[in-house]
Formats: sequence, C-alpha cells, structure tokens
Amino acid sequence: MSAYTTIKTRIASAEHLKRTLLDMGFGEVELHETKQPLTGWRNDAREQSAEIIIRREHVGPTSNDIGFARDEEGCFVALVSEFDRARYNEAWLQSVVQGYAYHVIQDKLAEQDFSVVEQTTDADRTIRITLRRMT
Amino acid sequence: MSAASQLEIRLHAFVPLSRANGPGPRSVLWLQGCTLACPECFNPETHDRDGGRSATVDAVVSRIRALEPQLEGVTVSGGEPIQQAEALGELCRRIRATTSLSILVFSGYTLQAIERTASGPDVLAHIDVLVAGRYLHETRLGSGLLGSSNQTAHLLTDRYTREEVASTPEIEIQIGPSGDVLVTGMSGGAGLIDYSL
Repeated sequence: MSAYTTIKTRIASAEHLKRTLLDMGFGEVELHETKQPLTGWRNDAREQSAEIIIRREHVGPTSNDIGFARDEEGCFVALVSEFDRARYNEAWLQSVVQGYAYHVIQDKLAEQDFSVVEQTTDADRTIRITLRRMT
Repeated sequence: MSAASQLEIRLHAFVPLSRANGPGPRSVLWLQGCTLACPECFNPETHDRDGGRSATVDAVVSRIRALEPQLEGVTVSGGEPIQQAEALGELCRRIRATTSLSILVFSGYTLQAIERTASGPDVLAHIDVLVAGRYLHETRLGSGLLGSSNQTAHLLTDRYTREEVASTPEIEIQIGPSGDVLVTGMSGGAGLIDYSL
C-alpha cells in the first residue's frame, strides 16, 4: 500500500519561524531566549511579551510590534494588535504556518537520502514536492 | 437507478491529485478496512472496517470524472481494496466505461489469491496494474511502487511498461495553504514522515 500520513503543523522551532518571517520580507526579526515586552506605535510598552519579535518599524508606519510567544506546550502563538490584524490576519498567519512547514521539511529532506524531482505550487497555494530516493 | 450504482464503498481518504502513486497525475483512494495486519503497515489507521466513511460508487465516480482533465489515472490503496471487491469491481468498471483514465490497485493478496475470490476477477478485468503481495517489513523496499521486495507489479494491460510503473517518484509532500502537511507514496517506515513540525 502507499502511505497516507497527515501532519498538523505546530510551530515549535524558533529558528525556523525566524527564517520564515525573514523570507516573508520583514527586514529584521528578533529572537530572544526569554520573553521580551512588545512596544506600541507611540513607543509605549504593551502588556504582551514574546520570544520572537518583529519591531513596529518593520511592520508598518503606524503599527505595533508583532510577537510570537511560546505557550505552555512549547508552541508559538502569534500576538498581533487589533490595529494590525487588518493586514496581518488569519490568511497571513496561515502563510506563516505554511512557510514554516516548508522550511522544516526542506531541512528534514537535506538530512535524508532523497532528491527533489519536482516542486510546484497549485492555484490554491498548495506546495507539492515529489521526491526520489537517491540510492 | 440501478442497485449497482448505489453500492457503497468504505473510504479512508481521497486525494484529488498525487504524483507519487503511479504513473502521472492521479487521484488516489485509500479504502478503509483490512484484516491482514501486516507488521509495520504504513497505514494502521485504515484497518478498522468501521472507521472512515461510506460513499456510493456513484458519488466517487462523479468526483473522479470531474477531475479527469487533470488526471492520467486513478489509484486505489488501503486498507485492503480486495476486501471490498464487489464495490471496487463496480467502481473500476464504471471508471473504465466512462473515462479514459488508467487504474492501478494495491493489494496485500497475491494475483492468484485474488483470482480465487468471488469478485476479484471482476476487479482484475477492469484495471491496468495490480501491485500485489503482503507488506513484509524485513524485506522493505519502498520504491518502484513496491513496499517490500516480495511484492509484484502485474501489468494487466499494455497501457504501461514496467519502467513507467517503476519510475513513479517515491514520495510526494503536499503543504496546504494553512500549513497542514500530507505525505503519500512508498515512504512509510523510511523515517521521512516522522516529522515533528
């Protein structure tokens, strides 16, 4: 039989998340060992804090910082201000998760004995990667 | 409406398009239910015959026909497809009669064993390729559509050459728009699908 395996992606690797956000065009992404406070558009300290932070100057002219904070299970949760949710909405978050999955898979593939035959992207943005064993 | 068109088939999953389950782009059905219990089976969650969901053969054929312009063929995996041989035979007959799609079926039974079942010959009469034999983990192969080296790809029509069947990519990874991942193909047990995303 051919395998059928589905995997629900949960963002757990800070390094892969940082690479994903940089790929998405943010000029700088901070990665901290411990949670650091987010800053608002008036340079005010917000109540929220996060290990991964995109400072407001890289988000938009009147934006607040965007953060990703680890939850109790070790997975990252996005912290986006209400103002910024108009642009950085659910669809954007899905793009982050998809980009993260792509980066993790690329690294997993690099560790193993497979070569990429083809990579395509469907109209609905599904990324397809077909692989062949090298030996 | 004929009784045959209302036959139900138990499905585990349907993937509209895959390139790692036989030659060219194919829709793939994983049928639900298998009593063979091969150790280290790729798809243990397909074994429970009460799992998955039921669909009429009619509905499955309609869905495949709508996808036909994008497809080269249809692949049926499992679960154990031959344990639903009556519905599978009708499904294959209808696909054969109403489309130009090729049909490839995976089974844990040998060709000879399928020929001895009541509805097995009806399935064999309407398919192009049968990949047959139990999965034996100790002889794991995972390429050329063969899970283990004891399995055989039987070319039942002249639609494909052995090389075309063997050149199927081993794995396809689909990363959906929301980041959920689907891994299909002959990769089970290779460790590649043991992601922690």
